[in-house]
Order: sequence, then C-alpha cells, then structure tokens
Amino acid sequence: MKNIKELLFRSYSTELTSEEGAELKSHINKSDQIKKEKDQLDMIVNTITNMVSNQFSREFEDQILNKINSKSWWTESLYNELFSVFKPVAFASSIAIIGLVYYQVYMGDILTINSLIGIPEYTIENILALIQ
Amino acid sequence: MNQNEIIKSAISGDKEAFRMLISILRPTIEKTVFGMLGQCPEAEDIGQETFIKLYHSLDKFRFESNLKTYVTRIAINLSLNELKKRKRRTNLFESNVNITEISNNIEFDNQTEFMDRIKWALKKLSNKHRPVIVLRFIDGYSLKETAEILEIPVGTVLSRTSRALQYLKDIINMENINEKY
Repeated sequence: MKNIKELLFRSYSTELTSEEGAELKSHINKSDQIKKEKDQLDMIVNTITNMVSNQFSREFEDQILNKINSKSWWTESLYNELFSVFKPVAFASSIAIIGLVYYQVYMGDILTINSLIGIPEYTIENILALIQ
Repeated sequence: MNQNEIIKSAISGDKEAFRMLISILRPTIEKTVFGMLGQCPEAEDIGQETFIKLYHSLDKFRFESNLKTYVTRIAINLSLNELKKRKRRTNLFESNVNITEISNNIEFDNQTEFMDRIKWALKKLSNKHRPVIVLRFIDGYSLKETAEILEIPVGTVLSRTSRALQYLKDIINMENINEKY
C-alpha cells in the first residue's frame, strides 16, 4: 500500500511510466481508500492551481520607476560628490608618496617631516642650548 | 520589439522599456508573491522590491537563461526573507495557534471554505515546501524550471512536492499534523 501511495503522490509531481500509470489505475479501481485519497489530492491541486491571485495596485509600475529614479538620483549624486572631492586628493597623495619613495631610494637621504616642511630640527643639544 | 530587445533597451537605461518588462512579468510575480506570502500589505512591497532588484542586476543577466525564471528567483528569495522576518516577529509577540483547535472547528460546506482552508494550510508549509507548491501549481513551472529557480536538484523538487501534498492532505484529514511537521 505504501508504494501505491508514493506512486499516487509522485503522479502529481512528474509523469509516471505507462506501467506505473496502469498499476496506479488498477489500484484506484480496486481500492476505495486510494480512490478517496486521489479525489482529495485532485481537489487540493485543482484548488491551488485555480487560486486567483490578488493584484498589485494600478500604480505599481509608476511606484517602481519613482523609486528607481529617486534611488539612482541619490546614489549617483552622492558618488559624484565624493568622487569630485576625493579624486584630486587621491591623485596628489599618490604623487607625494611616489616622490618620497624616489627621494629616499635614489638620493640616499633620510627624509624627515621636519626637513620636508622646513622647520629646524630640535635636537637635544639645541634644546639644552635654548634652556641655558 | 521582442523580449530580448526590450531587455537590451532597459539595460541601456531606457525607462519605458523597463516599464514594458514590468508589465510583461507582473502577472507571474503577482502569483509568486501572493502564493508565498498570502494576502498582506507587504506583498506589493516585495513585488516592487523584486523589480527594483531586477533593474539593478539586469546588466548581469545572461541571455541564455529565461528572464521569467530569473525574476521569479528574486521574488522567491525576497519572499523567503520576509517570511523569516515574520517568523521572528511571531516568535517574539505571538503564541502559535494550536492547529488541531482550528481544524476541528472547520467543516467544508462550500468551495470558498475549502479555498480558505487551502490558503491557510499553504501558510503553514515550511519555507522548504511552500516555494515548491507555489512554483509548480500556482505559477505552473516545470520540474526542471522549479529546480533551476530554487537551485536544487530535480529529485529534491519531486520529494518536496510529494511531502508538501501529503501535508496539505493531512491538514484536511487531521492525521497527526503536529507530530509530522
């Protein structure tokens, strides 16, 4: 009986082979219980298949396009703003880093922040001299 | 203009072409979303979100697959997320209604009552089984298409369909539902 039940459920998912179909049919004719189960399943599947869907509102398409327009406006404007500010900064930083690396590697000098920005170095001797 | 031309126009930024795509795909998505979520205010939001997601991912669409199955996959995933959110809310604020209490009080005098019962039973299906029933019987997708949309093997679609039908039948006959599911 279990196999026949499996066969019955499978018949709603996929097409059975001709032998399987014949076997199921003969059981439906012989057994009232199988026939009752098949009738119930038919009713369930037919009800689901013919279930009328509710509908989206008439403004559905307009609302989607409005949302798309507003979202793209925000993302695009934000992107443009950020890009316009960061692009020159990123470019200048890249040039500065390349310059520093070049200076240190090829000129053999140790670059300090103080020498770079032109402030005299305050060594311990200089500080002591100032105090005295 | 055929569908591929409409898609290409939409990809190139033609909003009217995208509006046409929405009109073509809208009936499918209505069935999918209402089948998954039932009649609720969130259904339309999920439908809109589906198309907004489609709009932003349209340039990744490969023309060898079907746009209908592609957009249905988005709708199923968004609906499943919504169901997860709902479950969290239900767990926090509501107690689960005893299934046997409701079932014993219902007799199916007419088709409307039976339809309501089926809708109620569909909501009780797990997140694994509900999409299979919606795609196979409400949307009318083939086994292969259902497997493709859910990204599972065809055999799994078969077994889930059988199990979901068994559950729907049990809920009518009241055969130990709480123990099985």
